[in-house]
Amino acid sequence: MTYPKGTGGAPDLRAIWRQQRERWQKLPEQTRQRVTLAIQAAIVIAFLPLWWGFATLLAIFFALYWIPRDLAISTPWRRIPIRATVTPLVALTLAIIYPFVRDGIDTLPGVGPWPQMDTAVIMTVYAMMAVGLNIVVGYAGLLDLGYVAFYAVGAYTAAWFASVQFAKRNIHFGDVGVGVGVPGIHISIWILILLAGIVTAFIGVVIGLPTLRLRGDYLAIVTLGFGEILPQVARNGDNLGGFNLTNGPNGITPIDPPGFGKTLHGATGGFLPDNYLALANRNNAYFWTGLVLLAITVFASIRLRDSRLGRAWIALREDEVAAASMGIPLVRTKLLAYATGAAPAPSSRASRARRSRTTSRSTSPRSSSRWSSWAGWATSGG
Amino acid sequence: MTASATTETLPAKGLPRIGVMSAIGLLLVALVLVWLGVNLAKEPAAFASVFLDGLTLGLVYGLIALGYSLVYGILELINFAHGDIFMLGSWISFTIMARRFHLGDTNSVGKLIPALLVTMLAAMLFCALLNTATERVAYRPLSGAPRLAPLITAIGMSFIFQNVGLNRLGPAPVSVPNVLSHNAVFTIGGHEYRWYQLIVGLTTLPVLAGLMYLVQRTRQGKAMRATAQDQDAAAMMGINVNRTISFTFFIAGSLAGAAGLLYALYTTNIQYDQGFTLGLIAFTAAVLGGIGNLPGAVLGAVLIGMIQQFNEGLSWHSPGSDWTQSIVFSILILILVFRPEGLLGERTPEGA
Repeated sequence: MTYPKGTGGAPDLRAIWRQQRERWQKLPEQTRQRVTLAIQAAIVIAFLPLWWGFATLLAIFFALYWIPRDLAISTPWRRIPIRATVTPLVALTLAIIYPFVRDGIDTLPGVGPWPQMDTAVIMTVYAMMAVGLNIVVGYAGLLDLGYVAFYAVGAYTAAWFASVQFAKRNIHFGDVGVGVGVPGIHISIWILILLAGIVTAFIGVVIGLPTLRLRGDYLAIVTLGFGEILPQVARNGDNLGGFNLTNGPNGITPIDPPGFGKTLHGATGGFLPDNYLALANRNNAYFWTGLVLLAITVFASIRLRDSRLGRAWIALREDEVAAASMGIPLVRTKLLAYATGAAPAPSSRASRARRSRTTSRSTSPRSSSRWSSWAGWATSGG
Repeated sequence: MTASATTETLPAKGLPRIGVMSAIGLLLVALVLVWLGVNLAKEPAAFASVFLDGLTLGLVYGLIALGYSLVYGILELINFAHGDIFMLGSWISFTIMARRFHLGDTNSVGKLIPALLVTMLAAMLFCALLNTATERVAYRPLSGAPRLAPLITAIGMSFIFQNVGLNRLGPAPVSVPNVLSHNAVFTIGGHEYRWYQLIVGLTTLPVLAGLMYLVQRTRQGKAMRATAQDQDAAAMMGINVNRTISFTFFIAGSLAGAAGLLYALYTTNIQYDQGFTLGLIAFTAAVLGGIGNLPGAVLGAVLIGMIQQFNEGLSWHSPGSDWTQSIVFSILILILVFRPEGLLGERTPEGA
C-alpha cells in the first residue's frame, strides 16, 4: 500500500511540528532542562490542591524522569542500569500499596474515582493477556485476532477441573473450601494455572498449524475465524452429541475458590490465605495474586525476548524469507510463538474464573470484540 | 503465472503431504455433495425452495463481498470497517424509509417506488462518502507504514462505526416495516417464494451489471485495474492513483449502502452489530471466490448464502442455525488452507 508523497492543499502539520521541534532542540541543554522541570513542577502544583493523589503519582513519575539515562550501579558481575530497574520497581510498589490507599485518595481528574478493587483485578488480568498477545503479535509479528479464544479455553479448562461440571467423577486434589463428598473434579488452582497454560498452548499449536503457510492479513482473518468459531462451540457446547461440555450459555458455575490450604496458611503464619472466598478483603488478595502472576509473565516475556527463541521471533517478524534462509526453523519457531503467546491468556483467565466463580461465554455480542482493544494495547506498547 | 507453474512441478520440500491435504479437501467436498444429494432426493420441493432463498441471500451478500474485493484488489487491505458502513447504510435507509417517507406495512405503488429509489440513492451516497472519508482519514496517512498498521486502524474504524450504530439504533434489534409485499409469487410444494425476496434478488442484478460495466469497460475502471496491478507503474502512466483509490472506496461504499437497504428490506430487522458478522461472512465469500476477483466475489457470496440456507433449512442431518457461523468460518479456514487463491483467483505470495 503506497501513496505518492504530497497530500493536497491541507496545512502540513508534520512539517510545522518538525520545525518547532528543531527550534526546541537548538536551545542549550540547561535551558531545556529548566523549562521541562518548571513545566512538570507547574503541573504537579496545579493538580495538588484538588487531586493530591494524582499529583503525587505525577511527581513520582517526573522524579523517575530525572534519573539520568546512563546512571548505573557497577557490581562485580554486571552493570545494573538504575532507570530500567527503578521504574518497574516503583510501579510495582505503587501497585502493591494501592489497595491500602485507594479509599483515602480522591478522584482522578476527568475520569472519576480511582478504580475499585475488582476493576483493578480485571486490569491485572487484561495486562497479562496484553503481554501474551505481545509475544505473538509484537515479537513474532503474527497478527492473531482470535486471541480471545485462548482466554476462553483457559477459562473452561479451569472450570472443568475445578467445579461440579463432570459430576460423574469425584476427584479431589489440593482443593480448598470444597466438601469431600462434592462430586466433580476439584484440583488446586496453582496446578490449574500451569495446566490451563499447557492446554491452551496445545490449542495454540492446533490453531497455528493450518495457518503456518499464511502470512499477514490472511493469517489475521483465519485467526479471527477461529475466534468466532470457538465461542459458538462454547455456546452450543451443552449438547455435543448428548454430552454437556460447556453448559451452554449459562456457563459453568460455581467454580471452586482459590487458596493455599490450611497447611501453607499455618506454615507462613497466616500470610498466605487459606481460602480466598473466606477473606473479608478478598479482592485485595485476588489483586495481589494477579500482580504476582503479571510480574512473572512480564519477566518471562522479557527473558524470552532476549533468548535465542525471542531473537528468532523478531528475525521472523522482520523478514520471514531472510530468517528462514539464515537457518531459523520457521514451523517450530512460529508454533512456539503461538504456544508461548497463548499460555498467559488462560492463566489469567483461570485466576479470573476463580474470582468471579463462573465461566461463561458471554452471550453479549460485544464480548467477541474484546480482542481489538487487546490488540490496541499490544501495539501501543510496541 | 510461470512462478506458480514451476513451484508445482518442483518436489515440494518445505510443504510435505500436499497430496494428502488436497485429498482431505476433496473428501470434504464429496461429503457435502453427498449430504446435499440425499437431501435433494428426500425432499425435492424443500430443497428447491431453500435453494432460491439461498440464492437471494447470496446476492445480497454479494454486494457486500464486492466492496471487500474491490478494496482488497486495489490496496491489499481488508477493510474491516466495510461491514459497519453497511450497517450504517441499513440504519440510514431505515431512517429515511420509516421516518421521512413514513412507509408502513402497506403502501401504494405510486409512493413506494419513488420513495425506495430516493432511499437507495441516499443510502448509497451516504455510505460512499463515509467510506471515502474513512480512507482519507484512516488509511491514506498510513501509506508508508507496515501492512498491518492500516489493518489495525480499519478494525478501529469498525468499532467507531459500531458505536455510532449503537448510539443511533440502541442495543436491541430494530424492526423495519414490511415495506415490500410478503405475499407469495409462486409456491413450490408448499414452500412460498415471496415478492420481497424476488424484488431484493432482482435489484442486486442491475447493480452488479453496472459495476461490471464500470470496471471492465470504462476509463475509470481501466485506471482502477491498472492501479490494482501496479501502483507505481500506473502513476507513471499518468493515472492519479490517490483519486482512483478514493473512487474505489466510493464505489465500494455505495455498494455497501445498497446492500444495507436491501438487507433491511430482506430481513426486516436491523441491529447495530449486524455489520461485524455480515462483514465477516461477506469477506469469507470474497475469499472463497478469490479475493480481488469481482465475479468470484459474487459466486462465493451466492455459495455462502446457499450453504447458510441449506444448513438452516434442510432437514436431513443439517447442523442448524446454531452452527451457521462456525460452518461459514470453517469454510473460510479450509479455503485458506487448501486453496488460498480461492475458486476463481490467482495465487498470491500472501496465501501460498
